[in-house]
Amino acid sequence: MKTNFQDSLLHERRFLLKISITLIIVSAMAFTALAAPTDTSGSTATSGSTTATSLSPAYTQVTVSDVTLDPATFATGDEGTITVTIQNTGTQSVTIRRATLYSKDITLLSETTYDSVGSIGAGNKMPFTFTVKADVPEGIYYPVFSLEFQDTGFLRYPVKLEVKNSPVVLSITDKPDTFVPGKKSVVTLSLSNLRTNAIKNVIVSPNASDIEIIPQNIVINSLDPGQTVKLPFSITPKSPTDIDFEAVYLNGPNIHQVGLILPIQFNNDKTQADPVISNIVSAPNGNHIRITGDVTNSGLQDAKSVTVASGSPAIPVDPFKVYAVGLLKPDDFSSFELTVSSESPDEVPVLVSYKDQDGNIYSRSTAADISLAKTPKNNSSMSNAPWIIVGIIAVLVVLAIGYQYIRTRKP
Amino acid sequence: MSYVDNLVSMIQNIIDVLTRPDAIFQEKVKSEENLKIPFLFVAVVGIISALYAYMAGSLTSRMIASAGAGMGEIVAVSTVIGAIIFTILFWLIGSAIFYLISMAFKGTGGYNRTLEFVGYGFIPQIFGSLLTLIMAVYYLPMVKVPVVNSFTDPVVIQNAVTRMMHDSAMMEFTKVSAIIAIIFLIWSANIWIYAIKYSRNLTIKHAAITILIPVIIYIVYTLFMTFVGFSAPGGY
Repeated sequence: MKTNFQDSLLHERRFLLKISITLIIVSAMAFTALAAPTDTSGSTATSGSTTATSLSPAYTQVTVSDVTLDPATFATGDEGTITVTIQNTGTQSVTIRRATLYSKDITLLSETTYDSVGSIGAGNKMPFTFTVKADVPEGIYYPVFSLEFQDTGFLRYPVKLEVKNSPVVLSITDKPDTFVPGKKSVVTLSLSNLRTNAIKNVIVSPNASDIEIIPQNIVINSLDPGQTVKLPFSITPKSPTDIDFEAVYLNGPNIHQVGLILPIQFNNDKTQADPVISNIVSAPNGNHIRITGDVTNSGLQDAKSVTVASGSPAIPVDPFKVYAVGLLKPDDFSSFELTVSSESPDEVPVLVSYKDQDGNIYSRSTAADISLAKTPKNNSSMSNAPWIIVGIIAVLVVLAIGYQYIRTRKP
Repeated sequence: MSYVDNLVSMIQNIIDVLTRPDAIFQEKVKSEENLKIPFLFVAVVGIISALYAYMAGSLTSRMIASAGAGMGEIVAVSTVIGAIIFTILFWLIGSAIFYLISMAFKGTGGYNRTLEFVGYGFIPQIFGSLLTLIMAVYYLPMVKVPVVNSFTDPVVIQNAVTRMMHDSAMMEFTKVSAIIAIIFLIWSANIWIYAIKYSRNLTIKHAAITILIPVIIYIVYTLFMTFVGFSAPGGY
C-alpha cells in the first residue's frame, strides 16, 4: 500500500511540473507575440520610421526617404499625385505585402495599385505613387501612407497635403485713355501668381474679332510663387468690340484659366494732333484765286506729313494745287497757300490732312469763302494811291530838272 | 554863326544843288575839299534806308521765328547795319566808277573832289529814301509772311522766300519802290553830271556820258529784275 501511495504522489508531481513548464512556454510565446507590434507602431507614430536595433526584425529597417506632391499645393477639386519613396536601410531583403493611402477627406483614385508589392532588397528604394483628388475645402490634410510587411509589422506615415485656392490674377496695368480706329495702342497686362506653388505652361491669349492684336499669345513656361510678369499687347482696333483675354495654366496636371475682358470703345484721342486752319484770306492772282492761311497744330502730338489742299467742288490749279507743310509739332504753325480756278464756287473746302506716328491718315475740312476774291480788283485792300503819288513825284522831279536847265541856260 | 544860321545855310545849299548844280559846283571847285557835308547827306540816306531795311528785315524775322529766340534780332541788326554800309559803299564805289570812266576823257582832279561832289548828288536820294520808307510803312504790314519750320531743307526755305516775294503787297511794293528809286536816281544823275564836270574838269558832254553809262545800266537792270526777273525791293 505504501508503495502505491508513493507512486501516485510522484506521478502527480510530474504532472504538475509538466503543466507548469507548459504554462511558462506558452506565456513566453504570448509575451513575445504581443511585444513585437507594439514597439513598431510606437516608433512610426513618433519618428516616421522603424527603430533599428541589432535585435529587431528586418522590416524595421524600412524607412520613408522622400515624399513628393504634384501639384505641391492643391486647389479644391484638383487631382494630383502623392509619391512616397521608401528605402530599405537594413542588410536583409524585406517582403512587402501591400501599400495604400487612406484618408477620410482626400479621395484615393488609385486604390488597388499596390495591393501586391513584393520584396525590396537591402539598400534599395521603392516609390509608391497614388492618384488623389482634393474635393475638399481649403486646409491642411494628412492622408496616411500605410505599408504592410509580409511577416508581421507595418509602417504608417502621414503625408501633409495643403489645399489652397489662392488665385492667379490677370489685370490691366497700362492702356491708352482712348482708342482710336486704326491707331495702334499698347495695352499692358500683368499676370501675378499669388499661389504658394509654381504654375506652368501659362498661355495668355486675346480673343476678339475685327481687331489686330500682336502678339496673338504669350507663353510663359513657369511662373514662380509671388512672381508677376508684364504682358504687352499692340492693339489696332477697327471697330468697337470687347477683347477677352484668357490665361490658361497648369497647376500640376490640372488645367485652370483666368479671364479678363477689355472693352474697346472709340473716343477722340485727347492728346492727338489737331491741325486747325485759320486766318484764311483769298485774293485774285491773275486768272486764278489765291487762298492763304495758317495751319496750327493745337494737339499734343506731332502731326506728320501735313498737307493742305482744296477739296471738291473747288478746282485746284498750279502752282499750289497742294501745299506740303510737313511735320507740325504741337503748338507749331505754318502758313499755306493754294491756288484755285476762279470758276470754283464761292465757298470751297480747305482740306488739311496729316498722319500720326502709325501712318494713319486723318483729315479735316474747313470752308473758305472766296467770293470776295472774285469781285473786281478795285475792292482790293490795296489802293492806287501810291502809284498816283509816285506819278506826281515823277512829274515834280521832271519839273525840277527842267527848271534847273532853264536856270542854267540863262546867262 | 548860330545853329539857325548853319541850318539856313545848309537848306540854301541843298536848294542850290537841286536847282542850279552847274553854278554851285563851279563855285565849290574853287574852295577847299570838304567831305563832311557830303558824308552827312550820305549818312542821312543810310539812316533812312536802315529804317526801311529794319521793316523789311522784320518780315524775314517773322518768317524764321521758329528758328529760335534771338534769331529775329540778329536779322534786324544785320539788315540795319547792312543798309548803312551799303549806302556808304554805294557812294565810294559809285564815285570810283565815275572817276575811272572819266579817265577815258582825260579828266583831271582828285578822287576826293569827285567823292565830295558825288556826295552832294545824294540829296535827291534823301527824298527818295523817305518816300520809299513811307511806301514800306504802307505796304509791308499787308505782306503775308510764310513761316519756315524746317531749316534743314533748303527747298522749304526757298519756297517760303519765293512765296513772300510773290505776295501781292510785296510785289506791288517792289515795283513802286523800284520806280521811286529810278526817278530819284535820274535826279541824282542830273546833279552828278555837273559834279563830275567840275570835279574832273570835263566837258558837259563827256560828263554826261561818264554818268549816264553806269546809271542807265543800273536802271535797265533794276527794271528788268523788277518786272521780268526778281530782286529785292527798293534799292537804288
